[in-house]
Amino acid sequence: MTIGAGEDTFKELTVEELRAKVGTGMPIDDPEEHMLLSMGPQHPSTHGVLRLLVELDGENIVNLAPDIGFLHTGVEKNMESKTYTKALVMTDRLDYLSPMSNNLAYILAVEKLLGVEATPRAQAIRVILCELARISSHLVWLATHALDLAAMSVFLYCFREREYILDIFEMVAGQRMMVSYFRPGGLWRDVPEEFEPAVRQFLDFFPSRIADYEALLKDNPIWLERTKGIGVISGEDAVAWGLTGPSLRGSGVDWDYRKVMPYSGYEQYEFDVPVETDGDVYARYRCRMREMWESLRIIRQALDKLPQGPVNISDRKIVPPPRSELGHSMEAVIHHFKLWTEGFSAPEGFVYQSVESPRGEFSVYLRGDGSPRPARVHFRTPSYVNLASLPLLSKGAFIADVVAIIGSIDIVLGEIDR
Amino acid sequence: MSDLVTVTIDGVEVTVPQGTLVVDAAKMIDNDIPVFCYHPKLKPVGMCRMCLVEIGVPMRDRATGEVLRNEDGSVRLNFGRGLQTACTVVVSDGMVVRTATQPVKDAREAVIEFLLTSHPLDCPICDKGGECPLQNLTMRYGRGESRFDFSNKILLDKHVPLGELIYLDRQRCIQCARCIRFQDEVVDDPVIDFHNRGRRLEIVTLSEPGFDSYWSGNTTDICPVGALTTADFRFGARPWELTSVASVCTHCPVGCNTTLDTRREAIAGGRSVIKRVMPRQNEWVNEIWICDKGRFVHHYADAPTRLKQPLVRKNGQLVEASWDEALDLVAGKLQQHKTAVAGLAGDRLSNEDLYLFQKLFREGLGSNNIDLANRRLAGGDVVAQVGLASGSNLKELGAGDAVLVVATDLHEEAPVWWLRVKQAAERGAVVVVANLRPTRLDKFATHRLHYAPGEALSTIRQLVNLAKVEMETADSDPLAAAADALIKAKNMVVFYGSEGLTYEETDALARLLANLLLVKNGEGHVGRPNNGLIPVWPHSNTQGAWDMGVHPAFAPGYKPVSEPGLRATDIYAGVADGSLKALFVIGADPVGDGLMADRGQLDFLVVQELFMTKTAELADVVLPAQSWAEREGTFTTGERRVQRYYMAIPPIGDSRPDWQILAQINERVGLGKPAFAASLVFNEIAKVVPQYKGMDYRSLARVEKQWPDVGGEDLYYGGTAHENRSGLGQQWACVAESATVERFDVAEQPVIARDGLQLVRVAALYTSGTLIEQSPVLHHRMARPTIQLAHADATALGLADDDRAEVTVNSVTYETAVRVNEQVPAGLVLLSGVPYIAGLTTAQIRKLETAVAQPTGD
Amino acid sequence: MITEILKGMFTTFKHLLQPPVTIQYPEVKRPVRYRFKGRHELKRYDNGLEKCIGCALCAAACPADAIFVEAAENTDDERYSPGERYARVYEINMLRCIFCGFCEDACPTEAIVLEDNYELSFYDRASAIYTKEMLLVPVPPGGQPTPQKVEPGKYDRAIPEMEDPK
Repeated sequence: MTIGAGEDTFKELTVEELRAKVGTGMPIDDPEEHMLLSMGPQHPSTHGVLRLLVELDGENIVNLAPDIGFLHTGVEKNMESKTYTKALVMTDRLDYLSPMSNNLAYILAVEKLLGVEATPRAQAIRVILCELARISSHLVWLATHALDLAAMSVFLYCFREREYILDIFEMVAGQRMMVSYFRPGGLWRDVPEEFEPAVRQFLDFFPSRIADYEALLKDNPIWLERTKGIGVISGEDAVAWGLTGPSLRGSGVDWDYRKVMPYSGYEQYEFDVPVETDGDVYARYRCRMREMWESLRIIRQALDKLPQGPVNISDRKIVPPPRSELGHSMEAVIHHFKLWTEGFSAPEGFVYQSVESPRGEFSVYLRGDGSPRPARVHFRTPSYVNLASLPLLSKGAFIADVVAIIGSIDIVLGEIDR
Repeated sequence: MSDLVTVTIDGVEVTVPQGTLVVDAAKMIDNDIPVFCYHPKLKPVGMCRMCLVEIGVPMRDRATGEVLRNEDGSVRLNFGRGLQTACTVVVSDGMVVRTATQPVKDAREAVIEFLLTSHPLDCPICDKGGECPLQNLTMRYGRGESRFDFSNKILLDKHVPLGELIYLDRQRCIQCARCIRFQDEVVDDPVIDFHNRGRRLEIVTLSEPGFDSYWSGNTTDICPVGALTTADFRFGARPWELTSVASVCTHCPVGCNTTLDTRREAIAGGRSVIKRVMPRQNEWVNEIWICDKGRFVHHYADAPTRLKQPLVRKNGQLVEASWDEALDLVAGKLQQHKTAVAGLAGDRLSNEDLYLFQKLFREGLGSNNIDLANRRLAGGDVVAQVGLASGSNLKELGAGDAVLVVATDLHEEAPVWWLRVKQAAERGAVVVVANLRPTRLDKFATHRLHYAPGEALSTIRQLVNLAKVEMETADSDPLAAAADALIKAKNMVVFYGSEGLTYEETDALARLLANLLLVKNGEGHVGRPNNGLIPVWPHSNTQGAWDMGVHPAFAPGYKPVSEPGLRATDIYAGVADGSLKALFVIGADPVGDGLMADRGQLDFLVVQELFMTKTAELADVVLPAQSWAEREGTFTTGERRVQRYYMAIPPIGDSRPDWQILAQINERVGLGKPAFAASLVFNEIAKVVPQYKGMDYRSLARVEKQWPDVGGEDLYYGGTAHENRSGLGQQWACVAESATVERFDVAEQPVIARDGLQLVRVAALYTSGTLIEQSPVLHHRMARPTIQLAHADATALGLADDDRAEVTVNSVTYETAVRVNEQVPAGLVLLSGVPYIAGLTTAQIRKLETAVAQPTGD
Repeated sequence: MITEILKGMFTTFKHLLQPPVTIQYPEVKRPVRYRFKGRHELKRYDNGLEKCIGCALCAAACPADAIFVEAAENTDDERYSPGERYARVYEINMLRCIFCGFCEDACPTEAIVLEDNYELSFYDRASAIYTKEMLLVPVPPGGQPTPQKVEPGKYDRAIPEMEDPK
């Protein structure tokens, strides 16, 4: 590491001089006292290509700095050269464990920019799929978190349940993960007939599975030993550091975008937002487990209330015509052609749309300039902001606890690096 | 009290000249009123009804003429009973136009709906898809769903060839008549027209071969749907798949600005191919039109028969060699033969190539023996003095101005100049045409002077003399009337060519015409915009060849040299008799053009070419050059406008740009390190050639907003793009713009007794040649050898229309078709479709008996 | 303490007797769903004519620029597809493809369809570019291979009547 242009490399300064120069925020390799350990970027427990520079005093962490950017693919810039619909596929790959919520955020932003609102049926289906994605993402979280802490069976059980959800996604969208199912103005296609029985079957057997996981972990002394009191953050600190999602609610702050700024019809459904007060790894674990229960509630309500009607709005300037019209309608052929080649044009202006992704606030800043391509897309991703609090959470902890803490803030590198 | 009018469009006030149409006034403030049948270059007809808007004019008191007002003081407006077409209504003071109200929206939706009822579901297979105004306007203003019963959709002919160049799809045609009006109003080739009525209305071609016009490609640009498409580009690529690069046409001296659209082609093995040539808007040069030769003759750039590797003759065979070997050999041999070396250049090479070529000879070898391989037209030095002044735009010529066209058929040699002169005539300019025979421009001329064979110079001399004399009354002598009209004009532009004239005669002609321009009745007709002499050079950069000093007697910038070198005719003689030992031919084919029989006694012949021409087959070293599309460079037009063209496709094989080859040879003869970019060569030119001072690649790339604003992404004429973002070029100033030019001395020409039938070679746009042969789409229209003569002369030779004849001129025999044409003056035979022949000659003509028809069996 | 150990072993034993959830791929393959987006196929009509009309809408819709189309003219003597236009060159770069299905949505004739095959692998990049021959389905029974010689005027309509997809 060099500090400043043309200045001495850090090897030549003493540790005190270095600390005076950069403050205490940066991990430093002091040959006498502390060791600088580079954890990653290839590491099974960093949940992605994350590099952590850890300053260790024996096993205690003195300081920690995340080094990100290994998964940067220029998504935001890339989207500027694609039409709004084509840019959608890039959002899948941000938070790749819950692509539905990324899609939703982006699509809601586009719809806000266009000034249209999806039909009630589309909104309900979006809610169902987003909650299923939430469960699926939490299952991966639980699986990997537990695996990092050596509870290997939990990993296999969670993935067994997740298969079911991915199968539902495949049934609906043709793809297990990168679905791109939501489209501006509605959905790609209406859900097939087997959707409702499949989801109901899921709703029937899944509660017992959550009970299984809880039985394995909730009162497990090893689990409690490794998660209680680790990685504590107070409510004020959490708000100051911009944490959102279960990381915030685990510290006692009741803030969930589905309640605070409801979108896609969430205000119709009755559900609670789990809040824990301890602010440690265990609290965040409890938050997420309870969220899975709440998601099941929401899905059941949405499925019961699922309105009939079209899934796409009737604005043909945004939604391509149904295939059955292409054989005999000139207007349909023209609109189909232009929408799939040039795409619809969004008016000038900007919007900011937030959704509650499994990790926290996933927001999209979208600016249109009258052309068919976005002028600027920026994603405020929860993992990026949550990761910034890692140094605060891990100072003073053991190196082994870093693994637990990273698991508890539930990061996905895809959305950190974009 | 000027002739400006203030109107309010959607609440925005705009002040425009009187006579502006509402649709144009709106466009000036970026308010796009959608149109189909309207085009800014055509007269408005109000046929499609797409531009319907609410137009209100102030109501006036009948007695006093005062504007009536409402209670709140605002002007009372009369919007009439319905909507009006913005394209036919001329602005008037105080007019209020509303384009965003509900009735207007409903009207637009209705017009689109009606147009779509007969339109076929062709978007996926139509070439226009992606750049189609009908698609764009439907998306913006049309309904999303159809109310039309599909079984009622009319079925008309699809894929109808109007001639083999243009296909018509009658079902897609929305009958806006832009094509018919363009052919009729703009280019005076009314070879297509409407046929039938009502739902059966269709376009037909009235000529044989179909759509017989040099401008047919332009109709595919202005057609707002995919009804007219070119056969050349049929199914070539989608517009968004094309890479567009700005370029300049390489054929005639007009220098039309073009855009090359390229794409990598799988069927061609993955190489980049020019898919189509489109016009690029330059209101000073070609507006938004190009002729079909420029549009379709581009295939030579990526033809498979292009030379790819340097070739060196070893043991009598041309074998592939490396560049270093070839260049070392060339430099060595040229230096070995020093002053017994000559150079011949073609006039399609860029300024950079020509400059380095003359530099090789003048500075590298100390020789002035360079010339154009086929110099037809003299007078470059005259043009440098009194050429068309900078800042000119032929579009501004009109009533009170005059154009003189001498010894050239502009329609065949420089079609866009023919168009510009014709339009000047229609605006009221005096047009005097002086030629051996009637040409297409005669129809628009105010004065026609047809001189007898051999009388060209004497006629012009008389014209000059008459111009110096004040005329009181209109004279019945046509020559005097013409002279009077010319000299009294406020602005005068003179075009001259070489039809029926030898090289020396064109020199005298240029000087005579310069003297005509210098006649000072009031002020001379030089040095001011829209005044001056325009030479109708044979190719795109003959002007550049003059400027760069590819001439035995002129160094770059028209500086006379102390000891002129050999002219081309002397060079050919020197090749034959052995006084020349080495010859460097670049971009020319003297053997193929019949100027050189063979390599004579040459020790060393090097040819730098695109294809294996007849000259290249005899060479010792063949250097593969890049075509204009593979590199950048500049051409100078006949109006002395320097224009940049850009690289569009990657180099073919291992070819190198001409300037780079010459720079590398120059390095080997001791002229220093080669420049690594064409722009650097141009910077050197700008230092050496005084006329080019101050120009560089950046200044040549400057653009400004042009009117009419066509071909952008807008919804007005949006669709096929004519946008020019790459440069308008710069004209260099002639001497007369800054100094007084003295009269020219004109050499006396020998009087030649002319006996019998005189033959003159006339130009034809599609005359066969190395480059045009590579465009198979034009093969049917290629100008085959043809003689034209009047009925009396034909009968005297025993010829009738449609016969075949054998014509021997200057020891070359051609088999020709025969056309009896009463327009040809007596005693004259026109020969076209053959390589250039200077001046007037006699010929042996005899009828060719065709094969006897076989008797039919019983 | 013994009871705890026995309890644990009994849990293990219980799980031993439960049916496994593992599917023994590749001997057993789980069937994919109806809408599954796998390897592309260029479909034909029942008479053997290709559905693809070379319109390149799929290439335009592809977010990954994976498709390359070059079109050419149909004649009644040498007919590949109904209508005037067919795809002379049709290539999909399977390494660029993200299997999003936009090409299938954009196709106006239901020619390009994402089918069920997900077992794709290549040894080098060049062999990942699937050409038209690799993508075209075989001629259905009762149909003729293309190019066909047909009577004039019979196959003029490029876009057929289609049903909404399920």
